[in-house]
Amino acid sequence: MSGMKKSLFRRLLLGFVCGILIGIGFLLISKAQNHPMEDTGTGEIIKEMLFCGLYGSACLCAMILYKIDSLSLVLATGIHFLVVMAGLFLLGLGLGWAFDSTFVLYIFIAYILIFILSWSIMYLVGKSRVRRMNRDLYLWKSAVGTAKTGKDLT
Amino acid sequence: MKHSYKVTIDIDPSADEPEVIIRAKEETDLVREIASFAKERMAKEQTGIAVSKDGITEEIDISDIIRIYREDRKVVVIAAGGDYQARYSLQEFEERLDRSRFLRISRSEIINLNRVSGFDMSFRGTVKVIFEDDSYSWVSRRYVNTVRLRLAKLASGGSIEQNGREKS
Repeated sequence: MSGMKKSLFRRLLLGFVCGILIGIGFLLISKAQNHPMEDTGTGEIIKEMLFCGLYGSACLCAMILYKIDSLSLVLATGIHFLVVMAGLFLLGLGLGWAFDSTFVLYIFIAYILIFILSWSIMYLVGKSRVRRMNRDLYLWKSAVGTAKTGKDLT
Repeated sequence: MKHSYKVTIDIDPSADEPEVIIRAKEETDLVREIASFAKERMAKEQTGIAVSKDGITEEIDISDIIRIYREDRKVVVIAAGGDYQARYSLQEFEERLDRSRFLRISRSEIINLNRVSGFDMSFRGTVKVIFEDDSYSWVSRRYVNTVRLRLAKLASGGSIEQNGREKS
């Protein structure tokens, strides 16, 4: 199995498990709050968990877009966002959620914020790694005697 | 079990460059080690490389190379003296050049670390490599981790085998 296919398969499994775990989390929170909608039978709960698992798989598998070099990060993020939003609506339709404009707006804003936060964290992590790379470059160049001052350590 | 080995040196004045041939019954770890050592040693010895410019073949100093990239089925060498075309593929360059100095940053580009002045992170999340002549290129997202780990290894005093494996 090629590297990309292996990665996709791992994401499929991990996403499925994470989706189910998050679904269980929401279910427990709803039950703790005695939410009337959560007064459902085992069959419905299994169906909910299955849909949550599939949604988790879709979200995590879509992240493989970031590994495709020919796709710009902006485009990869845009497509990932669309997949995540579309997946959520399909999940809601499957589970019989009542969509109204306020709910849709809240979901949209929440996901935008999640993406902005994720992007910011990844950017800061990347910046820190690049600083480290510059330091390692300078250390190596110093060791081989080709380091110059200033510009080599940005 | 005792193994016997033979080492033969064949001096041929018509040979353009040294060639190491390892004849063995099967590819063992020893065979691979010898091949890797030979490649590493020859890479360190190589000081010049044949390139062409405006149809004229010349030899340039390897240390003058800034980066090598593939474009439209051609391999372009950017060096201190200008832009050249090379007859080797990127794969062949990787085998010939000292891996502790030359690093692949994408499927179509190899850079000379000695000619790099630094790295930068763009807001789009891509890593830019800036050269001493202020030109720049981009590290492919797939290769960022490899570049990062390779630099860490080199900074800690580790060396890189010619087959890309790292020696502790």
